[in-house]
Amino acid sequence: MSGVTTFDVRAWMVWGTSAFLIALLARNPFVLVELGIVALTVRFACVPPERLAGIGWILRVAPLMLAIGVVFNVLTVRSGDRVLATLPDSWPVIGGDLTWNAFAYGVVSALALFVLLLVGTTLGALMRWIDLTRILPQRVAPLAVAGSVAWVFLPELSRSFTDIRETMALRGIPLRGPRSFLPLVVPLLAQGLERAMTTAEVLEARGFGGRPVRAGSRRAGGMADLALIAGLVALAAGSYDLVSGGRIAWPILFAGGAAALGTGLLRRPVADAPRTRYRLARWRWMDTATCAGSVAVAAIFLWRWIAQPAGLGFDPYPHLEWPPVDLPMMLVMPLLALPAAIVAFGPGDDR
Amino acid sequence: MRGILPALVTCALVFALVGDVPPRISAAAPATPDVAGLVVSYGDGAFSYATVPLDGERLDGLALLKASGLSVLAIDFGGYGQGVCKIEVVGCDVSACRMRLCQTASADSPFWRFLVAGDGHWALSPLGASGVTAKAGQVYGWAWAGGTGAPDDLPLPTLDEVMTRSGFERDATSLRPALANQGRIPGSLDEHPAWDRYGAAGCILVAMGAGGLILVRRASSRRGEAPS
Amino acid sequence: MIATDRMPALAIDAVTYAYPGVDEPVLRAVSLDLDPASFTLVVGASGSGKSTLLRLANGLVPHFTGGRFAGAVRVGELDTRLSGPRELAAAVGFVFQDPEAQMLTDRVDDEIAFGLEQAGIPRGTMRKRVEEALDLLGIGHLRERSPATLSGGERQRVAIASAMAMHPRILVLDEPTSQLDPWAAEDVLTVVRRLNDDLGTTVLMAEHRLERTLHHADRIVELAAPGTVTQGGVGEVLPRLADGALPPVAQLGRQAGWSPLPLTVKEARRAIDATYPIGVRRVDRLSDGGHSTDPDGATYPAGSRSSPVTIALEGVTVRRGERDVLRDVSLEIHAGELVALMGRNGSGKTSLLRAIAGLDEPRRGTVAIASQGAMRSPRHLPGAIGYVPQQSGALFWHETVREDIKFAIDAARQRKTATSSVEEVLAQLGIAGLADRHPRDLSVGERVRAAIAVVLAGSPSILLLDEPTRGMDWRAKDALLALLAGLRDSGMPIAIATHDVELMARFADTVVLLGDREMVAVGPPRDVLTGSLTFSTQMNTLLGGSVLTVDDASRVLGLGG
Repeated sequence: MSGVTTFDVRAWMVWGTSAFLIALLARNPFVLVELGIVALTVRFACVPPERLAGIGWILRVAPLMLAIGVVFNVLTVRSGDRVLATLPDSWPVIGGDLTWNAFAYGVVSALALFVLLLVGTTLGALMRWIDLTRILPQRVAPLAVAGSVAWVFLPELSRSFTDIRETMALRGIPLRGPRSFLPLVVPLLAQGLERAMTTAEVLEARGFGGRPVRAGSRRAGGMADLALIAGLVALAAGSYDLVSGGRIAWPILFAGGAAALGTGLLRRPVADAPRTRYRLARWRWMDTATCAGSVAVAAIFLWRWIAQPAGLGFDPYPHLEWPPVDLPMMLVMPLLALPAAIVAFGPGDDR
Repeated sequence: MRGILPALVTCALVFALVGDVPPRISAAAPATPDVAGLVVSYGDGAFSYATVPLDGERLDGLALLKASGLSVLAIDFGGYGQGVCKIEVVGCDVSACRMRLCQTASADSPFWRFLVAGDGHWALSPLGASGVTAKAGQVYGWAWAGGTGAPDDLPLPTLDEVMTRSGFERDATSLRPALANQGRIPGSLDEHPAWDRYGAAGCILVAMGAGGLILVRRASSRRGEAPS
Repeated sequence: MIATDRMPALAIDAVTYAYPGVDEPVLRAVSLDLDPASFTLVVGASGSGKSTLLRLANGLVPHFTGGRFAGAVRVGELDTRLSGPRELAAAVGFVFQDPEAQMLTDRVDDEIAFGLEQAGIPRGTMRKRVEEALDLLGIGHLRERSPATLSGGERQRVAIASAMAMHPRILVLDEPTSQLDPWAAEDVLTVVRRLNDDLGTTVLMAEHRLERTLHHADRIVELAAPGTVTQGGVGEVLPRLADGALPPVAQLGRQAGWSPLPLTVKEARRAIDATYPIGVRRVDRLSDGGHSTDPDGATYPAGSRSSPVTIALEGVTVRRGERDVLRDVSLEIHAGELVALMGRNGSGKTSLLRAIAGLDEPRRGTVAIASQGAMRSPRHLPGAIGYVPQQSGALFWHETVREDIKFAIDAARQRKTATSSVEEVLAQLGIAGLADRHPRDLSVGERVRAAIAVVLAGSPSILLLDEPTRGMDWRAKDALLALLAGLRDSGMPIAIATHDVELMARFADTVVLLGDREMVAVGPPRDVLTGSLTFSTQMNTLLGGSVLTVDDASRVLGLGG
């Protein structure tokens, strides 16, 4: 019995898909808050302390997100029964009613974004980069290099930001107003890029991507390319459908598109490079449980989304009221916190 | 900050120019009161009729709608003026409205369109509701429908008929807007969720929070005990 | 095909190389052959092309860097023009300078296995090689640890293990000890030497710290500024090197006329015993000109203890996150005093500098800086404190060094404290040639000088430097310290966190020794840097007493120095 439990990275990917789905689509404050609690629980229970980077920056960014969401909504939507203030109509652009309805909607929009960030950073902390590269096929190694460079780049950004801020303070260069942030952008990006470039160089020097070996027939290559193209087209169509407000077509198109894309990438016979694994990925009952729980939550969510979308949203127009309560969704959501329960009460990894 | 001022000036100029449609003085009926009529079709045979006194003010089509007493959800589309997402409860929510004014991929998906009553037929206003100044004696229409043009089931009443159907008091000393509905407006509000549902939701959240804390503490302490 | 012993491990054939976008080639018609099982040291000034030369071996130049390449590089059978880094990774192991940036995974054994996985080594073989690499480097006890929790020296060992697991023919190391404290550096170099001795691995290493590495090497390759090389056995090249390039024992040997020049303390001792069979009179206290003596016998350079206190720390304790990074430190720095902060990595040097700069608020105690007659918290004195951090990237915001210096001068003008012009600052630091280069294109040593220039351009009243001599060759170090000594003489208090014992023995007025985040000793170099097992200079280890520098040793031995 040990106190540490590790999950397979693929289980986390399923978990992440489910959580992201809800974070992206739901607007109901109850559902969002619940998802936020789940994300925090999983984060603090399942991520080992050395990988637990601070989430302080999300908390610092939150007021800004709130302000932007509220101001944007209050200024662009002038409807609602609870009027906050009325500016003269003759004022161009901002004249008209400013309503509490819009304010509430802005708050909920900011909440949705906040929870999305929580889910995203939790997922990032849960997955080990090395495990991700191990499940990616060798053919997409350049993609993995780009991905790992990005993986390094983003945390570097926040470190660089602190360094630069300190330097400015020391040199007596005041940070007044948005103008003075402009000089920060270039060095910030440059610092992060520098570090990312070092990582890329190290990856190359360690032989990342392996040695290409030629194998496979032409025909198989042609079929694979067709599958690739079909997959891309399906994804494009799905995106269009999503943007134009469709409800059912886009998930099917995305799923089909992703499958086709995957097939196309995996079946390409050209430039295959053999690669082995030091540590075999073990799929255990806890990974199955995590997947099952996540899939169940996602399924219930999609059912509610299609059957009664109003329950998962928040519509303060034209009357500002309390948001609806979707009890089935709220009752099933704790399944997403299953990994945390397994870590807390399960048998642990064998040592 | 420098860019905003010219933008504001331009906007002001555009509004001034576009809004400047001189009212047509009707020579025919001296008794025509200074009102405009409004017909709203929700589809499924539900309508609203409204009579709105103008009081010499210049109201655009959207302001006219709002002045009628109907609940309206409209979104600012910047240079394109405002678009109506919802009248009463018929329409769509803010995000769908922002994307494509409630429309979806199918050609028949409905949206709110603004119409002006002409000789025996409805006409679409090319400038939209924000670009038209309401004229006394004119009847305007709003229809929730798909396709283009006016829906077939939209009645074309005269101003008198509108005033009657909306229950307008012609002889009152101060003219007030009048509004009446015909037929049941689809998608009316669900009954307010009972308070026990909110209680349940609250309990669930509190339980999740407490449960989460317990799980996190137990996981940390287990990790602390684990042989390294 | 088995490479015969006649075939060089690495053959560089008339290589001329220029980086993309740069007209001047950094290497010109360089030819070099490495014999199998040799240990070759690459020396040269910063920016002379050492890193470029090393990267020829595994194909990073030109495959990763681009640019214009002429000539050929062969590693055994492989030609680097045809085979890129991926193919060469199994034949050439590469260890970079920065211990932190090299770690790709979060477990040591995954890290070592990484290259093996990429090469498709069968699992059974892979597991065996990982175990071997762990044993070879003596890091078996670290196998489950995350590299992020390891010290710099341990990380470099993991990096070497990762390279060795591939069973490379050549091990290339690019200044592997520059970020490490002296003990970790010694560890790493011993390990590399052992790999060369016991396994016959060909080693190609670039290093500045010659006093530590010369005695390990067989051959030296010296890169001169126009991109050319001179090479030969250590014995051949050594006499041709300038004084400053030699370790102190060799400098002493040159003055004493010993041949061959000693490279270690042991060799020097033998030479002394041979030259002075009766023994050397130990001089316990050397008098230095112009020093005043304290009642308790310690001597201080004139003008430092008696000048006003400009930086005062009183019982300062600083906390970061869960732990204290500095405990109960009290220190006074006077005007015109150059203070060296020394100690192992993690002992609190950087924390102390940051506390003085006001970047970290002390949990207990006070920090005060003298300003216009009063002692004030550093947080209230923006622009008065010049701080050159270890990672100097945050100081450069513009496209050229010149613009960054100008920006700093302009900011100082707004505070009405500007005292120099761009050209003056460039000349002061000797970087006029770098003025129009992009800061991020500079080599490590060049960048440090540019960073100091930018900080000085702001006309600060105190100067704090964190490991400024990393990556600098001896000439640049001497020039830097001469510059700092000049500033010190004009009254500026200077604090330097550094590992460079030899340099501080020559230039520092006061040495502060930190251990486990507390102040362990403070005093002039002659008190603190003598009689210590780990913090002494070579000369002190050789002759003991108060001997610190080669000049001291010369005097003791009665040489004409």
